[in-house]
Amino acid sequence: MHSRVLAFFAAGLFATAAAIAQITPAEGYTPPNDDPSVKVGGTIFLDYTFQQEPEARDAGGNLIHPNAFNVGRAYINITGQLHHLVAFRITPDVTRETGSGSSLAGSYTYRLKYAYAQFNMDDWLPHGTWLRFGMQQTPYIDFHEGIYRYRFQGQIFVEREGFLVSSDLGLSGRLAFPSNYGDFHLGVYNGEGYNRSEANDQKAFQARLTLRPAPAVPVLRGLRLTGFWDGDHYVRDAKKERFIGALTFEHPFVNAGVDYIDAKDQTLLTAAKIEAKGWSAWVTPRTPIGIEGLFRYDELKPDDRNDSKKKRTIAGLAYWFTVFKPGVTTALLGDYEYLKYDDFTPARPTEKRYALHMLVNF
Amino acid sequence: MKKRIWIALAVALALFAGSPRASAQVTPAQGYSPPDDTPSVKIGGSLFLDYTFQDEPETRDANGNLVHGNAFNVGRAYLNLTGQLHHLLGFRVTPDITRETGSGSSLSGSYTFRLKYAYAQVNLDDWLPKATWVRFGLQPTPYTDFEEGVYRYRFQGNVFVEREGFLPTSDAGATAHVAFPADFGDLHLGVYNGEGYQKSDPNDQKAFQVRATLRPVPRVPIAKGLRLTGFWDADHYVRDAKRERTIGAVTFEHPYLNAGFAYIDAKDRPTVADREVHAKGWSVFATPRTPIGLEVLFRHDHLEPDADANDSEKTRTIAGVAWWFALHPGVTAAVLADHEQVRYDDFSPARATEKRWALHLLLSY
Repeated sequence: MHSRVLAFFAAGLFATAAAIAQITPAEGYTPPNDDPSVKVGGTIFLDYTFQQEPEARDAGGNLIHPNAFNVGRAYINITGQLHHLVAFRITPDVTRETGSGSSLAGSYTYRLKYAYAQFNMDDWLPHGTWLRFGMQQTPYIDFHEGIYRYRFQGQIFVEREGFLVSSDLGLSGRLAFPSNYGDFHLGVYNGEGYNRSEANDQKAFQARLTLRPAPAVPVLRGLRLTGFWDGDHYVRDAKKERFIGALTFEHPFVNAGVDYIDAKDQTLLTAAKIEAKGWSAWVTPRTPIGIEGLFRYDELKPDDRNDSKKKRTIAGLAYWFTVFKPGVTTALLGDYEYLKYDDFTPARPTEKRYALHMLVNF
Repeated sequence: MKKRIWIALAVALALFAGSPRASAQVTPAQGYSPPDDTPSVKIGGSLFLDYTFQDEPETRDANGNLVHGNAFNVGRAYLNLTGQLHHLLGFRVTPDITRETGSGSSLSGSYTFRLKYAYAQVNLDDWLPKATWVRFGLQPTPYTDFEEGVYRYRFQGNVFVEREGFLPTSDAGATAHVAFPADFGDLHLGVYNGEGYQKSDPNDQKAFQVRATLRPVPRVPIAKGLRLTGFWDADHYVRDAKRERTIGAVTFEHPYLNAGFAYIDAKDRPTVADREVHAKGWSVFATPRTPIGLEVLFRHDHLEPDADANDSEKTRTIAGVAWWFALHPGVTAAVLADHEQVRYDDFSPARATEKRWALHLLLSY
């Protein structure tokens, strides 16, 4: 395993060195702008959520419908270009401290979500080709969220069910295919995610291959086929593996996607091997005036040894503000979420929630 | 102890008090251009990233296998907010990350942000040599910040006196820095809580720290990088229970070589009921440099953590090869591949030798 990590490093460094050696400035060549620049941006997810079912009991023993105003995300994005070949990003995000042993219990505290250096290979390879080192996006979730666009309602299926994390520490490379035929992103990560420290010597190898079959055909160019593989181990010989196949489509009037996951988990050599399977389908019809619909259905069989099934349905109506300049995104979403558990032991109640979500991104 | 605080505050006040008087003495020359007092705020940062492979000792995973621990890490993620509100008044706010390891926190395992620096600075450049100032708040302590500036490899790990737990890099207090005329050195003294930026002050004791640095020959080209430094930190854990550090250092800076030697003598007595522990140690480093960005790092630390009571010794050796990228002024990027060995002799209980290989990356802007 260690040799694979080193091989990955060596390949990355060799690719950088080899690319630099190939520079042959053309006649009339205009050197790129290497003036350093730093930008500050942010993303805020806000919501008011009313839980219709199940009811909960308050401190007085009354049956109530829990409801609350929440901040789901408060990114502070510091991004910079130190040279046309070297960039970086630092992004803290909030999370609610819920540990009873902390004096900050209840507070939204900042923790690191992204902190990476990026070496751009645009001078020698198709635009959007790079190497990254540090705490960075994992290959699949970031890709899928870019098409889904409703992360502010909640995570996409594979993250919400705990199969993948959106950020992790590692080294990765992305290769953009020529003529917009897709891209390939692979990396080696700790595998624990950004919110846990590495527990042992195991590393996660993740690879995503996305093909855009018809980039020159106006209606079809939004179609992409994706395969993703995550090969990891909880401890030596105890597998943590995910395979995902996805079909996505982008168009000014509709975005849509379907993905299927097959996951194998064995947390210890003495623990049972569990295979989970599931799929998610969503569609977001769009209008030129900013009104959109959101429909999503997830279905998960969390354990192949029984018939338990978890189903999530989301329906909502959104308005994306069109008055802002490029680079600024704001949207409001009113939605209903229904979550049903079949054949779970112990039984779990159905959940029903109404929510008003808001997104501000700049 | 109170007397020392009053002395330090008196020095700071004297410098402050000099300001209006000095201001009144200003007689603008003909064609005098007033300084730019337009407020400005800048954002910067530092990133330390690494992949570290632990060769020795092996550890056991949850299944009992012997494994070589290895991980990608973020060592630092500063967000620097610095500003100049007036040519006499500046500030800095810097959060940094640390791994939450408390079992009682739901964030256990996450890199959480905490405050590292937050201070106001009154510049006295109008009346005293440039870089003379008074600071108030959570700020760099006099010694580690100075040594790190010469060492330049903080992204590999802390300097000796910090790594062994003798001094923190940041603490809350009031300090003054005086630059000597003609670049002959500087003096930095201050009064601090003494607990460092990551602990609250538990009692009435304060740390009095002073660093004096002399540059004997600032006009001689090769020798101008030579500096001699003395540092003294007088503090108490509780009343009559000493915490004292004395450091002597020689540093040298040159386009082809940075080098340094530091010796520390430390006395610690956590409570009056404890015996005083006397530690001694030294560290030497050299970083040969080339004009094309290729550098080498050699460092050796030697510590006797309880010199009067036993023969235990801790030695650390670091060797590495680095590449410093040639970027715009104000932007720094470097990659370092290094090997580190930590050996414990005559420790009771015995401790295993540590060997680590690492790839470190620095980005600063």
